[in-house]
Amino acid sequence: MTNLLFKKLEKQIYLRYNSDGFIDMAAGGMLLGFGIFMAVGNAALLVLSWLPLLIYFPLKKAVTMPRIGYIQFHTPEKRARHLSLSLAAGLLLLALLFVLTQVVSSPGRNLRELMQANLMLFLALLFAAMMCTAAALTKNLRILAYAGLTVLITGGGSRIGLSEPASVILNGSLLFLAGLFFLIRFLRTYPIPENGEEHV
Amino acid sequence: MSDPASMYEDLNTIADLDRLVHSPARLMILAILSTIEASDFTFLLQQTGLTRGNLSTHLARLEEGGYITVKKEFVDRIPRTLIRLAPEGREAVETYRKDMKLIIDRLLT
Repeated sequence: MTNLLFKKLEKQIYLRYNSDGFIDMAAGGMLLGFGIFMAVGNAALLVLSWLPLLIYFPLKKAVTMPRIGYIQFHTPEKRARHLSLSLAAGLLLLALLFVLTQVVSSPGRNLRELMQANLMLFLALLFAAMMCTAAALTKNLRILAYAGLTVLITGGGSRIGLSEPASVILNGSLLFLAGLFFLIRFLRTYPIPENGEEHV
Repeated sequence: MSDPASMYEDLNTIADLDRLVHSPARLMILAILSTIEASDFTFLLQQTGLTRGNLSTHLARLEEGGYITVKKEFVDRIPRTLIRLAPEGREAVETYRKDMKLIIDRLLT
Protein backbone atom coordinates (compact mmCIF):
# COMPACT_ATOMS: atom_id res chain seq x y z
CA MET A 1 0.00 0.00 0.00
CA THR A 2 1.60 3.25 -1.08
CA ASN A 3 0.63 6.92 -1.01
CA LEU A 4 0.08 6.54 -4.76
CA LEU A 5 -2.77 4.14 -4.05
CA PHE A 6 -4.35 6.68 -1.69
CA LYS A 7 -4.08 9.37 -4.37
CA LYS A 8 -5.68 7.00 -6.89
CA LEU A 9 -8.46 6.16 -4.45
CA GLU A 10 -9.06 9.85 -3.76
CA LYS A 11 -9.33 10.53 -7.49
CA GLN A 12 -11.74 7.61 -7.95
CA ILE A 13 -13.95 8.99 -5.17
CA TYR A 14 -13.98 12.45 -6.77
CA LEU A 15 -14.84 10.92 -10.16
CA ARG A 16 -17.65 8.81 -8.74
CA TYR A 17 -19.05 11.82 -6.89
CA ASN A 18 -19.06 13.80 -10.14
CA SER A 19 -20.27 10.96 -12.39
CA ASP A 20 -23.84 12.31 -12.17
CA GLY A 21 -23.27 14.66 -15.13
CA PHE A 22 -24.58 17.74 -13.30
CA ILE A 23 -21.35 19.66 -13.78
CA ASP A 24 -21.45 18.93 -17.54
CA MET A 25 -25.10 19.99 -17.70
CA ALA A 26 -24.39 23.16 -15.71
CA ALA A 27 -21.57 24.18 -18.07
CA GLY A 28 -23.69 23.25 -21.13
CA GLY A 29 -26.74 25.07 -19.75
CA MET A 30 -24.72 28.22 -19.16
CA LEU A 31 -23.38 28.15 -22.72
CA LEU A 32 -26.85 27.41 -24.13
CA GLY A 33 -28.35 30.36 -22.22
CA PHE A 34 -25.55 32.62 -23.38
CA GLY A 35 -25.89 31.43 -26.99
CA ILE A 36 -29.66 31.97 -27.02
CA PHE A 37 -29.10 35.42 -25.48
CA MET A 38 -26.70 36.22 -28.32
CA ALA A 39 -29.23 35.02 -30.90
CA VAL A 40 -32.32 36.68 -29.40
CA GLY A 41 -30.74 39.64 -27.60
CA ASN A 42 -33.01 39.35 -24.56
CA ALA A 43 -31.03 40.34 -21.42
CA ALA A 44 -33.26 38.14 -19.22
CA LEU A 45 -31.72 35.12 -20.94
CA LEU A 46 -28.27 36.31 -19.88
CA VAL A 47 -29.40 36.23 -16.25
CA LEU A 48 -31.07 32.84 -16.82
CA SER A 49 -27.81 31.44 -18.18
CA TRP A 50 -26.44 31.54 -14.59
CA LEU A 51 -29.41 29.47 -13.35
CA PRO A 52 -27.64 26.08 -13.84
CA LEU A 53 -24.99 27.14 -11.34
CA LEU A 54 -27.65 28.08 -8.78
CA ILE A 55 -29.48 24.76 -9.04
CA TYR A 56 -26.29 22.66 -9.12
CA PHE A 57 -26.00 22.09 -5.35
CA PRO A 58 -29.76 21.53 -4.70
CA LEU A 59 -29.72 18.91 -7.49
CA LYS A 60 -26.63 17.27 -6.03
CA LYS A 61 -28.38 17.07 -2.67
CA ALA A 62 -31.66 15.75 -4.10
CA VAL A 63 -30.33 13.27 -6.70
CA THR A 64 -26.71 12.34 -6.00
CA MET A 65 -26.51 12.12 -2.21
CA PRO A 66 -29.45 9.71 -1.70
CA ARG A 67 -27.76 7.36 -4.20
CA ILE A 68 -24.08 7.40 -3.37
CA GLY A 69 -24.18 8.95 0.06
CA TYR A 70 -22.78 12.05 1.64
CA ILE A 71 -19.07 12.92 1.48
CA GLN A 72 -17.11 15.71 3.07
CA PHE A 73 -13.95 15.98 1.03
CA HIS A 74 -12.21 18.57 3.16
CA THR A 75 -12.18 20.15 6.59
CA PRO A 76 -14.28 23.36 6.91
CA GLU A 77 -11.02 25.38 6.85
CA LYS A 78 -9.84 23.77 3.62
CA ARG A 79 -13.34 24.18 2.10
CA ALA A 80 -13.28 27.89 2.98
CA ARG A 81 -9.85 28.20 1.35
CA HIS A 82 -11.11 26.49 -1.82
CA LEU A 83 -14.20 28.72 -1.87
CA SER A 84 -12.03 31.84 -1.45
CA LEU A 85 -9.76 30.71 -4.28
CA SER A 86 -12.77 30.00 -6.53
CA LEU A 87 -14.26 33.41 -5.73
CA ALA A 88 -10.91 35.07 -6.42
CA ALA A 89 -10.67 33.19 -9.74
CA GLY A 90 -14.25 34.25 -10.60
CA LEU A 91 -13.51 37.90 -9.76
CA LEU A 92 -10.33 37.76 -11.82
CA LEU A 93 -12.31 36.43 -14.78
CA LEU A 94 -14.91 39.19 -14.37
CA ALA A 95 -12.11 41.77 -14.21
CA LEU A 96 -10.60 40.28 -17.38
CA LEU A 97 -14.00 40.43 -19.07
CA PHE A 98 -14.34 44.08 -18.01
CA VAL A 99 -10.88 44.94 -19.38
CA LEU A 100 -11.74 43.06 -22.57
CA THR A 101 -14.92 45.06 -23.16
CA GLN A 102 -13.08 48.32 -22.34
CA VAL A 103 -10.32 47.55 -24.82
CA VAL A 104 -12.85 46.62 -27.51
CA SER A 105 -14.90 49.79 -27.01
CA SER A 106 -11.97 52.22 -26.73
CA PRO A 107 -10.81 53.71 -30.02
CA GLY A 108 -7.41 53.91 -31.65
CA ARG A 109 -5.62 50.80 -30.53
CA ASN A 110 -4.24 47.90 -32.49
CA LEU A 111 -5.17 45.53 -29.69
CA ARG A 112 -8.75 46.75 -30.00
CA GLU A 113 -8.91 45.61 -33.62
CA LEU A 114 -7.36 42.30 -32.74
CA MET A 115 -9.88 41.70 -29.97
CA GLN A 116 -12.81 42.94 -32.01
CA ALA A 117 -11.91 40.44 -34.68
CA ASN A 118 -11.52 37.60 -32.18
CA LEU A 119 -13.92 38.60 -29.40
CA MET A 120 -15.68 35.24 -29.36
CA LEU A 121 -12.38 33.42 -29.13
CA PHE A 122 -11.36 35.55 -26.15
CA LEU A 123 -14.73 34.87 -24.48
CA ALA A 124 -14.28 31.17 -25.19
CA LEU A 125 -10.82 31.31 -23.60
CA LEU A 126 -12.32 32.94 -20.50
CA PHE A 127 -15.02 30.27 -20.28
CA ALA A 128 -12.37 27.60 -20.84
CA ALA A 129 -10.35 29.09 -17.95
CA MET A 130 -13.47 28.75 -15.75
CA MET A 131 -13.82 25.12 -16.80
CA CYS A 132 -10.13 24.47 -16.08
CA THR A 133 -10.69 25.79 -12.54
CA ALA A 134 -13.71 23.47 -12.19
CA ALA A 135 -11.62 20.56 -13.54
CA ALA A 136 -8.89 21.23 -10.97
CA LEU A 137 -11.42 21.45 -8.12
CA THR A 138 -13.28 18.29 -9.10
CA LYS A 139 -10.20 16.38 -10.35
CA ASN A 140 -12.21 15.69 -13.50
CA LEU A 141 -10.23 15.52 -16.75
CA ARG A 142 -13.49 15.37 -18.75
CA ILE A 143 -14.04 19.07 -18.00
CA LEU A 144 -10.58 19.87 -19.34
CA ALA A 145 -11.64 18.19 -22.59
CA TYR A 146 -14.75 20.42 -22.62
CA ALA A 147 -12.53 23.49 -22.19
CA GLY A 148 -10.57 22.40 -25.28
CA LEU A 149 -13.81 21.67 -27.17
CA THR A 150 -15.15 25.16 -26.35
CA VAL A 151 -12.07 26.86 -27.81
CA LEU A 152 -12.06 24.48 -30.80
CA ILE A 153 -15.75 24.96 -31.69
CA THR A 154 -15.58 28.73 -31.23
CA GLY A 155 -12.36 29.07 -33.21
CA GLY A 156 -13.30 26.49 -35.83
CA GLY A 157 -16.94 27.60 -36.11
CA SER A 158 -16.01 31.01 -37.49
CA ARG A 159 -13.73 29.41 -40.06
CA ILE A 160 -16.49 27.16 -41.44
CA GLY A 161 -18.98 30.03 -41.54
CA LEU A 162 -20.95 29.13 -38.43
CA SER A 163 -22.47 32.22 -36.83
CA GLU A 164 -21.24 33.14 -33.33
CA PRO A 165 -24.54 32.35 -31.52
CA ALA A 166 -24.82 29.07 -33.45
CA SER A 167 -21.34 27.91 -32.40
CA VAL A 168 -22.05 28.76 -28.73
CA ILE A 169 -25.43 26.97 -28.88
CA LEU A 170 -23.80 23.96 -30.56
CA ASN A 171 -21.11 23.85 -27.88
CA GLY A 172 -23.64 24.22 -25.05
CA SER A 173 -25.90 21.54 -26.55
CA LEU A 174 -23.01 19.08 -26.84
CA LEU A 175 -21.99 19.60 -23.21
CA PHE A 176 -25.60 19.44 -22.00
CA LEU A 177 -26.28 16.22 -23.95
CA ALA A 178 -23.07 14.67 -22.59
CA GLY A 179 -24.24 15.60 -19.07
CA LEU A 180 -27.66 14.08 -19.75
CA PHE A 181 -25.99 10.85 -20.93
CA PHE A 182 -23.88 10.72 -17.73
CA LEU A 183 -26.95 11.45 -15.59
CA ILE A 184 -28.96 8.59 -17.15
CA ARG A 185 -26.00 6.23 -16.69
CA PHE A 186 -25.60 7.40 -13.10
CA LEU A 187 -29.31 6.87 -12.30
CA ARG A 188 -29.13 3.36 -13.75
CA THR A 189 -25.90 2.49 -11.95
CA TYR A 190 -26.92 3.86 -8.57
CA PRO A 191 -30.55 3.29 -7.65
CA ILE A 192 -31.70 4.70 -4.30
CA PRO A 193 -30.90 2.09 -1.61
CA GLU A 194 -34.05 0.43 -0.23
CA ASN A 195 -33.35 1.16 3.42
CA GLY A 196 -32.16 4.63 4.19
CA GLU A 197 -29.67 5.44 6.87
CA GLU A 198 -28.37 2.65 9.07
CA HIS A 199 -27.21 3.45 12.56
CA VAL A 200 -23.92 2.02 13.67
CA MET B 1 21.12 -15.44 3.06
CA SER B 2 19.99 -13.15 5.87
CA ASP B 3 21.12 -13.92 9.42
CA PRO B 4 18.63 -15.62 11.84
CA ALA B 5 18.41 -12.59 14.16
CA SER B 6 17.38 -10.32 11.33
CA MET B 7 14.90 -12.92 10.04
CA TYR B 8 13.39 -13.17 13.52
CA GLU B 9 13.00 -9.38 13.60
CA ASP B 10 11.33 -9.42 10.17
CA LEU B 11 8.91 -12.15 11.19
CA ASN B 12 8.11 -10.23 14.35
CA THR B 13 7.04 -7.27 12.24
CA ILE B 14 4.44 -9.54 10.61
CA ALA B 15 3.26 -10.83 13.98
CA ASP B 16 3.01 -7.27 15.30
CA LEU B 17 0.78 -6.07 12.48
CA ASP B 18 -2.29 -4.26 13.84
CA ARG B 19 -5.10 -6.84 13.54
CA LEU B 20 -7.74 -4.13 13.66
CA VAL B 21 -6.30 -2.64 10.47
CA HIS B 22 -5.13 -5.88 8.82
CA SER B 23 -8.62 -7.21 8.01
CA PRO B 24 -9.39 -6.50 4.30
CA ALA B 25 -12.83 -5.00 5.00
CA ARG B 26 -11.57 -2.70 7.76
CA LEU B 27 -8.52 -1.75 5.71
CA MET B 28 -10.87 -0.75 2.88
CA ILE B 29 -12.92 1.41 5.25
CA LEU B 30 -9.82 3.05 6.74
CA ALA B 31 -8.26 3.62 3.30
CA ILE B 32 -11.43 5.36 2.09
CA LEU B 33 -11.75 7.48 5.23
CA SER B 34 -8.10 8.49 5.06
CA THR B 35 -8.61 10.06 1.63
CA ILE B 36 -11.63 12.19 2.64
CA GLU B 37 -12.69 14.22 5.67
CA ALA B 38 -15.92 12.34 6.50
CA SER B 39 -18.72 10.34 4.91
CA ASP B 40 -22.04 8.79 5.79
CA PHE B 41 -22.98 5.11 6.03
CA THR B 42 -24.46 4.95 2.50
CA PHE B 43 -21.24 6.18 0.91
CA LEU B 44 -19.09 3.58 2.67
CA LEU B 45 -21.64 0.92 1.72
CA GLN B 46 -21.37 1.87 -1.96
CA GLN B 47 -17.60 2.14 -1.93
CA THR B 48 -16.79 -1.06 -0.07
CA GLY B 49 -19.51 -3.31 -1.49
CA LEU B 50 -20.03 -4.82 1.97
CA THR B 51 -23.46 -5.77 3.27
CA ARG B 52 -25.16 -3.40 5.74
CA GLY B 53 -24.70 -5.76 8.66
CA ASN B 54 -21.08 -6.46 7.81
CA LEU B 55 -20.25 -2.79 7.46
CA SER B 56 -22.02 -1.98 10.75
CA THR B 57 -19.98 -4.66 12.55
CA HIS B 58 -16.65 -3.46 11.18
CA LEU B 59 -17.48 0.18 11.92
CA ALA B 60 -18.42 -0.75 15.49
CA ARG B 61 -15.07 -2.53 15.95
CA LEU B 62 -13.13 0.41 14.53
CA GLU B 63 -15.07 2.78 16.77
CA GLU B 64 -14.34 0.62 19.81
CA GLY B 65 -10.66 0.72 18.91
CA GLY B 66 -10.80 4.51 18.74
CA TYR B 67 -9.81 4.54 15.07
CA ILE B 68 -12.95 6.26 13.81
CA THR B 69 -15.54 8.60 15.27
CA VAL B 70 -19.24 8.13 14.55
CA LYS B 71 -21.48 11.13 14.95
CA LYS B 72 -25.23 10.94 14.49
CA GLU B 73 -26.96 14.10 13.32
CA PHE B 74 -30.17 15.26 11.69
CA VAL B 75 -30.07 17.13 8.39
CA ASP B 76 -33.50 18.40 7.24
CA ARG B 77 -35.04 16.01 9.81
CA ILE B 78 -33.30 13.04 8.14
CA PRO B 79 -30.87 11.08 10.32
CA ARG B 80 -27.30 10.92 9.07
CA THR B 81 -24.41 8.97 10.56
CA LEU B 82 -21.21 10.87 9.87
CA ILE B 83 -18.09 8.72 10.06
CA ARG B 84 -14.58 10.15 10.15
CA LEU B 85 -11.08 8.87 10.81
CA ALA B 86 -9.81 9.71 14.29
CA PRO B 87 -6.19 10.87 14.74
CA GLU B 88 -5.44 7.43 16.26
CA GLY B 89 -6.87 5.79 13.13
CA ARG B 90 -4.77 7.97 10.85
CA GLU B 91 -1.68 7.05 12.84
CA ALA B 92 -2.61 3.35 12.74
CA VAL B 93 -3.00 3.43 8.94
CA GLU B 94 0.37 5.17 8.59
CA THR B 95 2.08 2.66 10.90
CA TYR B 96 0.46 -0.22 9.02
CA ARG B 97 1.61 1.25 5.69
CA LYS B 98 5.21 1.52 6.95
CA ASP B 99 5.15 -2.01 8.43
CA MET B 100 3.81 -3.51 5.23
CA LYS B 101 6.41 -1.67 3.17
CA LEU B 102 9.11 -2.97 5.47
CA ILE B 103 7.83 -6.55 5.18
CA ILE B 104 7.60 -6.38 1.41
CA ASP B 105 11.02 -4.76 1.10
CA ARG B 106 12.79 -7.21 3.42
CA LEU B 107 11.04 -10.50 2.79
CA LEU B 108 9.55 -10.41 -0.64
CA THR B 109 12.18 -8.66 -2.74
